[in-house]
Amino acid sequence: MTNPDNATKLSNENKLKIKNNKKKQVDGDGLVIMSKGLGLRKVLLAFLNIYSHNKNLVILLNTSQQEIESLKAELAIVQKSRNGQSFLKVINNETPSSERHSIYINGGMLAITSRILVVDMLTKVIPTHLITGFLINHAHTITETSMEAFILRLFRQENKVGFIKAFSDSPESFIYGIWKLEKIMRTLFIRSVYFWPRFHLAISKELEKNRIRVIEIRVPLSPNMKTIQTSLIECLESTLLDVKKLTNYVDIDFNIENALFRSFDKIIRIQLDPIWYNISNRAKKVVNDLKTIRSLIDYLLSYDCVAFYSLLETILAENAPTSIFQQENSPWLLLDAANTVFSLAKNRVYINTTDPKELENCKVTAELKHLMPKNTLPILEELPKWKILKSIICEIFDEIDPIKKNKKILIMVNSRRTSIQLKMILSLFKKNEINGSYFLMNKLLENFFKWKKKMLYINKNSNTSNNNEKLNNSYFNTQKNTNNQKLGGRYSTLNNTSSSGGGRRRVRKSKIATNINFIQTHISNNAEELKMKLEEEEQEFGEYLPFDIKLEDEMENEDENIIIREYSNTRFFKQNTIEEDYKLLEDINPDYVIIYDPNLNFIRNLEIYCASLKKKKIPKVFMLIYDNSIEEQRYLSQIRREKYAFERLIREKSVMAIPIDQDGRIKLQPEDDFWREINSRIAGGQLEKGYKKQVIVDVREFRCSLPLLIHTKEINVKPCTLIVGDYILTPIHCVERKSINDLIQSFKSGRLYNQVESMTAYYKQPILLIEFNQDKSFLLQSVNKTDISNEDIQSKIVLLLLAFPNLKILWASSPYASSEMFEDIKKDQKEPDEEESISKGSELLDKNEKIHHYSAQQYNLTPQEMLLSIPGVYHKNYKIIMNNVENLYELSQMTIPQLEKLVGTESARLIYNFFNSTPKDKMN
Amino acid sequence: MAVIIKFKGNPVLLNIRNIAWEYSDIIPDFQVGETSCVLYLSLKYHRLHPEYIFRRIEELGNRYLLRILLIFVDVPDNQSYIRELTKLTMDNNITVIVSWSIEESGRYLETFKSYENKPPDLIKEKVDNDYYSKLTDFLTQVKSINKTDVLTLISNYGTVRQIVEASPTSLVSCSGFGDQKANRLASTFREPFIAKKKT
Repeated sequence: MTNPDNATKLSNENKLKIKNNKKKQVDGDGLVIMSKGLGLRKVLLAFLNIYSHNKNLVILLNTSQQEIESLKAELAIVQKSRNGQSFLKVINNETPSSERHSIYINGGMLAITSRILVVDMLTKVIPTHLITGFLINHAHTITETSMEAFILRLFRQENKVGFIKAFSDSPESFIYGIWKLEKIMRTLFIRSVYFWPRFHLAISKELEKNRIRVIEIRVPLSPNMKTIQTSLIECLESTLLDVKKLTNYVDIDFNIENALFRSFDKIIRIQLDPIWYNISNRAKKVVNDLKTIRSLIDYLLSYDCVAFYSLLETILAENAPTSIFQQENSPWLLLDAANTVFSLAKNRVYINTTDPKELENCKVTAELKHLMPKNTLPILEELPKWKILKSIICEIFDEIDPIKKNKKILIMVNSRRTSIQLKMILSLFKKNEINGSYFLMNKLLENFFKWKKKMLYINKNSNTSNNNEKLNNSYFNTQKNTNNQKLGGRYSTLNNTSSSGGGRRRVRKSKIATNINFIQTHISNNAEELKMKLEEEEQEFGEYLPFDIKLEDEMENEDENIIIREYSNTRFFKQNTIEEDYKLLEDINPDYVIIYDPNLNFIRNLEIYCASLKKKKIPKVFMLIYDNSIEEQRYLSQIRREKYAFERLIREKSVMAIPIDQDGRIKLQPEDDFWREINSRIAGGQLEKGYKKQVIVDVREFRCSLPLLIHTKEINVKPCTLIVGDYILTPIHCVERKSINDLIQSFKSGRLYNQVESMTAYYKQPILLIEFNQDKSFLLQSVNKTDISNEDIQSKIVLLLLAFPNLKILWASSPYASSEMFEDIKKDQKEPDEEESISKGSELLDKNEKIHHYSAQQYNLTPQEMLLSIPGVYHKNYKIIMNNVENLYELSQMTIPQLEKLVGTESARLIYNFFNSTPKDKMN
Repeated sequence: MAVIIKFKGNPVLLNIRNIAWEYSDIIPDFQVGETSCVLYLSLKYHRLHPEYIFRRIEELGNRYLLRILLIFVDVPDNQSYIRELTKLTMDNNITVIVSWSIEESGRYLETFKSYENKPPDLIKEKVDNDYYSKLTDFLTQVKSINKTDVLTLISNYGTVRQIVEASPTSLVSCSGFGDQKANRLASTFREPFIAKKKT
């Protein structure tokens, strides 16, 4: 496969299409690992193009719906040019099973949801022996127990000829864990791996031909931002130490550089998962805090100062003693550094002053003036990049020849939010407002004060803080003058504002106490400050949004000259045209590119694009990057890490030992077959005879790995839609599987009780399987309190058993253990009957739902769970709602009379109120 | 609670603090209710005397309605023992409960006795109508929505209806909402309850 494949790739770099290679179709297996942004999609597209022919049956797996859509669209364009025969066909949960068989028989290039393919392979809807091969996207996500692994196992069992090709553009993912590359290759039945890093000689040579010149502009942070960033990093450091202290188990390279990456959370979680149920709530909270702080560092650089401060306010409100969530405080909020963050973030928005001169001089819009509390001076610091961006655009405009005005400027940003933000700034800028953002910032602050008012209602007892339960009154002393206290600068600024409101000040002696108190004071203070205004003018709820500024008309009229786009790898919006970065460049053909947020993927795409331009004029590229910022550090270490990952993988490959039969293609000698017949431990993948035993499995269970493991025990897995139970082992044994999280959840919701009740009604031996995770500890949450608590999971298990004495419990440390226990139970028992298992419980549904054909329907999980948490929705009526209402949106629009028809008066009122009442109503 | 006499000195008894117990002449190790009993087995002991538990189960015969085998896991590599004991008890109509500490074992025994006549309301569907906890439950079902986001949403939009109606572009303007989160939330509200028919 090596040569044609290489050629494919290089030709892709060259943009020569793959015509030359079409004849040399390759049937070899292989795993390709490329650098990000080097056009892996193009390679995939080329393969899709080759195989999209009726005489093939090639299956694309592990690809998201959105990716499929965009691949499909692009493929259609490519194929139209050669009067293409068949495009990429999609099979997902919207394809009826009756049609699936004929689609498979017709062949072509198919993109299938893994879960559906497994079921179809097991029920023999798909002719496995006829499959030409598999293309597996995002190979780094494949694990030994994933659906894809199951599919490939089933495939290799029946088909020794078809190919398996896997792709990945995340080399970093292959270096975590021990011999991950080798494991993935084994799972994929692949013997060869190819690396295409950016520093590959052929690639860099190709790209050097028409190099881009990037003008890198290092934007300094404002002094406030710099200090906030430093303080946030300090918070992050201290939180990291806390994590280490609280858990003892974590063994990570604790440096800040690692902590800046999102993957760091994953590493911590992997290490903590085995003990997750056993660590304190406090430790869990701290682990979550890591994430919060890291995202704050990001937002500091991308949010405007008002939005950033309001986010901080929300975090404070969440942690306040009066919060609607009664929970522990995040420890980092009590640090001095956090204090600095909060006060500086506020100072970027406004400061409090009593100097009448300053107050008079400040210019604000009339609406804002009306809303502002007394003695407030708006500062409204702009993001430094805004100014630079404006000057770059000015410069470009000067440069452009006025006659040939048709020059295009492409601005690349990393989120929709930034894109809206820039659109507003630029549209104001174009209206010749010298200080373009002045109006915008004023508007933002205006909305901020309106928002603060609404926030008041959400504080549980903002107006009844005197009878606050959590903070015992005994340690408060009311002091009118607190300026002499040793409180931080922020605290005293607060006092200035509060003196007008005559608020109560609470001070405690210890530093931490003061800080907790601060959160309380900070909130109640603002409450008092704003309450007076509030009484004057009653504002309707939900009218104002922080960004809801009426600039829509101008924004829609997109400028011909300036185009703002988000990077494809950070963009998640379903837009009409999902474009890859490369295609975007091709389509827009910009003369200037401004990289507003540094993005490695995009720069690589730009490189390829420029290389493809040949002698045409390449665009001028500006890149804005905050000097000495996290952004810069992250960008640089991303490059470094990728390089390191490749180097390590190349080394790993050189010492890897790959068994000759790893590809599963080699048929064993007849002699071996004989030995295997009498050997009870048969390695998976080769037995071609049908298994004698069978287990009936609910189709919804195919999300987890247990069906795969049952299959490796030489037990046939029959997918069915079951009403009662998850697994039917024998005519009398019925199993409900619960992972630990499920167990806790379904105890809480009462679903487990109902499930066990119906199992008891239909089967002689109901069984509850409590399945622990392979990587997590085999432990329930420990009991450490001295009293019996209703909340303990143990107490609930006891109650369940007292209610159903006949229920048996299987305790499995992993899905492997579950499958072993299933095997035990099935020994010397009759096989279960499909028809009978499906029919069991249908009367139950009839009674509740009246209409018969609903029973076979599938419900979407998340909306269903959300529906069940609405007051007034219970297990007895939720199905009625789901069958008669399209979605949550429709439900929210319904009136009481409409709801009454479905669920009766009481529930209708509760549901309606849930959607339509405001926190203000809740307070009264 | 009645305890078999030969359990004298067993450390598990030290961990039964919340209820009274007495030695009594009974067949199972513990009688925790009129119709329920518990056999107690430490895996360490089981490893040394694998025949012991067979004998006890035989002695027990068909007595009692709810029959529990409480296994105290005090050896590593315990899955094979649990598997073996599960098989044994399955045939003898005994339910296995696994505990990982001596305290937990004690707690199970206490709970069985003290919940003897407790109705199972606690694990049945509950009607809990506290607005904020319901609201939090409702919104946090969507992946990546946390409590801070719940606050942000309700304070910006005012009613749940407004949140549901919000477009992704509008959601993105809330602090803390990235493109992905906003999109995920908005699309969940519009995702139909009924998945298109598969079968």
